[in-house]
Amino acid sequence: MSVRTTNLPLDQRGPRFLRLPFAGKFGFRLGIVMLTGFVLVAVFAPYIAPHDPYSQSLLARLKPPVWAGGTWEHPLGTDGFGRDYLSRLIYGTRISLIVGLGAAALAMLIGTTLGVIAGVFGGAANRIVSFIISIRLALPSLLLALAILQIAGSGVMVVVVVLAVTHWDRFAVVLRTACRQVAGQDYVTRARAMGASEARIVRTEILPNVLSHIVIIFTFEMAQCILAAAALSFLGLGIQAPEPSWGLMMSEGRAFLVINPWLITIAGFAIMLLVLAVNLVGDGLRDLVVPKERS
Amino acid sequence: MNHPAPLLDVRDLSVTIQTPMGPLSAVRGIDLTLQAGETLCIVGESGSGKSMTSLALMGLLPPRARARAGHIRFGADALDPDAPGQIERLRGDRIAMIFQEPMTALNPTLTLGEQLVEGLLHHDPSRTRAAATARAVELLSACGVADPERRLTQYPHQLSGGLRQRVMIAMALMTKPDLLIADEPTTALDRTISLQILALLKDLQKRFDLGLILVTHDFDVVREVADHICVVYAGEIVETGTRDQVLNNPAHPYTRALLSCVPTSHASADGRLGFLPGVVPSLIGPDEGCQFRDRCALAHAGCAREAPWQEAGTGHRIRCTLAVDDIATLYRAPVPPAAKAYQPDQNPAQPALEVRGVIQRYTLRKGLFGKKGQLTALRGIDLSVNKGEVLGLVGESGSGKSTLARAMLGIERPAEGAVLINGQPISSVQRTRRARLVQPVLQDPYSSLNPRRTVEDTIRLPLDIHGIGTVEERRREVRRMMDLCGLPTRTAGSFPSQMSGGQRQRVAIASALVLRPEILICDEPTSALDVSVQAQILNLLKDLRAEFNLTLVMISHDLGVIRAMSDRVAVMYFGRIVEVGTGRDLFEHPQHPYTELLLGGVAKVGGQGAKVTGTSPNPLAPPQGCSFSGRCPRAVDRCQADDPLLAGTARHAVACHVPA
Repeated sequence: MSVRTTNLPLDQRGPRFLRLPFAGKFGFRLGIVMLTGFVLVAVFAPYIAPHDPYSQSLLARLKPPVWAGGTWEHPLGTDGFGRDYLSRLIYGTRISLIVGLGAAALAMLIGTTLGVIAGVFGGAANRIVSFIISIRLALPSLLLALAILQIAGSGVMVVVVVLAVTHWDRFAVVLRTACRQVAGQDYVTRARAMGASEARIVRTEILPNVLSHIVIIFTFEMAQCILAAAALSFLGLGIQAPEPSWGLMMSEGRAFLVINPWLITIAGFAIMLLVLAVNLVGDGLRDLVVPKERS
Repeated sequence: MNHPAPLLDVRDLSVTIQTPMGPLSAVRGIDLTLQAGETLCIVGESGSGKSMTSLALMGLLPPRARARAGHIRFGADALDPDAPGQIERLRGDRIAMIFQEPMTALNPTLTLGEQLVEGLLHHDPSRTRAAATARAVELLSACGVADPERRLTQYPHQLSGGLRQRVMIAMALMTKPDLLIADEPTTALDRTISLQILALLKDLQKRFDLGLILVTHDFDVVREVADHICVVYAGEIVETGTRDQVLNNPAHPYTRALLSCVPTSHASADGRLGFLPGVVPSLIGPDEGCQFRDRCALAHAGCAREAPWQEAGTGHRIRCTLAVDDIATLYRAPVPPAAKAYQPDQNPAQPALEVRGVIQRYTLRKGLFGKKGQLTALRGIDLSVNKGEVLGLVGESGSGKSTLARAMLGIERPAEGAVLINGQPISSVQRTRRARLVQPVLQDPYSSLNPRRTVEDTIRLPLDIHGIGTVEERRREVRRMMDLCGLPTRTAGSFPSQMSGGQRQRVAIASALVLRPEILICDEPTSALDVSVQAQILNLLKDLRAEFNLTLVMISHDLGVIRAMSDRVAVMYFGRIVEVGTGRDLFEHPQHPYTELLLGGVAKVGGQGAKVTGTSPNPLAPPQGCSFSGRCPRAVDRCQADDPLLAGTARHAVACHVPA
């Protein structure tokens, strides 16, 4: 005879069980496939695009996509200047990826540097960095971006810088905490006692142990920057015509919303897909890295 | 048994946990009997299943763990085998539990009053709030909490660790339980506070006729409070008996070996600790026979089949295939490989390490424009360590031991004073040269290794930093150090997460010694380890000391460890050294009242421990005069006004106006 004395009615598998098959495995793979697709399209744009994305043809204005009565000459139709929409969409991938990657990379550089300095050295450095972060968080990002673009003019590089300046805070906040935690570990003290320089300690002891945080925030911020770049273009700032930026394409399509709604829909859908791909990859990386760190 | 009906009688209790590798039998058929008013200590190393046993008794097992039992009788109630949830009904009412971590066991968002009163009202809705509050006040003062009415309105963060543990005990007693289960109740506390809590538990037990089950790994605690002892190993009880039977006449080979590993106040610096090689076996899958056989010096083929119970005395039973007398004749305390004798240089011209008037202050400030506060961690330390000597540094948390260690390592510059190595100020020594003079071994083996580096890379790191030798030479040197530190070659490619605490500490020691430093600063090197592993590491340090001609500074809160290792001992209190002397002088004739208090618990077997009250003063607002005067039983008026300085001979010096 035996007694079952205990078995708590808690089911720990609940949240994990729900998360794993979608975000964990399938979502990660889907994200990688989609993102790889976007990158390939961007790299081989000249070979894939059926037309020159800049060449106008006033005779072929506002052709509908092929499924809405158009022809295979312009599968996704043409815009208000008669430019091939598919070709512009393909070249637009380049701009979105360059802006997203570039802005996120620059933001990573700024934020990580500040976060590492604050986290590793603490004290006065931490107080100053905290102050800078507070200032950055107090400034309205969009207004700041508009102001800088007004003054500095436009262009891909300016947009990258503007987005980086308004998106580095998350890197700094997370890395400050992560570095502070790692810097308190005994192996950092031991490296210091071994005579390692501070630069070496940051490089070999601290950065490898906060890398997972950097990667995860990077993907997140990249998605944010792509969206923000599109928003700036839509507002008429940032990347200027005739560049085939997706946000700008949506802005241009607005005028023809009644005649040809596809002009605005397809570009918007492309932005959504790219952001989704980046986010899926980011979530997958987080699931991949975080449990391993804990064990 | 000829006893009256026991308070608790458990037969054949098992706990199984489902793991990805298969079912893990954490507890394998344990029998427990406890009389009212008695203390039963369940003692064992980590992984022995002692906590699982107590959680099963409380019905608090984690999910995926399942308990089964032949029967559980609690007082007059026999728990019905077909009705689950019976223990849940008794829990918190007639059975109460105290946990290890007083910092996390209380809800930080509720006042103590709310937590104490709500619990009681939940169990007994017929009581009025006023009656419950009155009981809370009564119990708090019974638990030695001064000014209980005011405490009821406070939140947990306003209390020190020791005070929180007192509140936890009061909370456990609110429903007038018959049985109190305490899982490592003093492990997170300082020595003097821990003694206070144990004395309180014994006192309350007498007053309320409580049955007490105390789960611990600490033999000092067992010696202090136990009536009966169960020694558990790999989920089974291997030996049970009264305190004196088990501690003074251990019969089972495991108990014998384990006790030989415990550094006690009888140990001396030249002796060696016992030796218990190996680790607790994996508990996954079924296993007949004696679980200890792989580590047992007396094991034979029959041990794999069974491990029968047998009497070693009245009420003293062990589980072993060998007869008790046979074990006694056959058993030799396992002696580790030959001890290397080492005589430190007694009269050196120049100390290897000298600390001169070191003061360390930290400025605390919140935010860029926050208010400044100043914390003085070291308040003037003078100390010297001779070449080849082992200096033990003992003190409670917050006494400044680790701050002093960082100053001695030269990785933190003191605000005033200097640390000299071979007569040269360490602050003027170049970083890389300093590293070849002094190296640390730190407390936490889980954080002292970079998780991204393999064992080989970790031990080689200092050679890489200093650019010593060719790749092949470095590899050979790493292998040699691994060998010396008892690390098998196959572990070279392992990551820290794949290694045990003891192995990690060996890696940390190997990597500290690969630069051939003259001085090793060991900051609590074994406090996170089990006692058998601790003995291995301490023995290793002794061997390496002879091998490398090392000077050792051994920092610990554990007096047994200090006694077993040190030639000379310094006692720290509140950023000062209050007493320093040779191990023998200091342990046998302590002069400072604080040293006496620390020793009080260790030296006395049973009986009333030394009466210790109060806690360390607030370092942000240090008191006038002697910092210990607030807790000192011998304090005179002068102590409140005048701060005593360290005075005496080189053999023994003390900072006290009224030394013993």
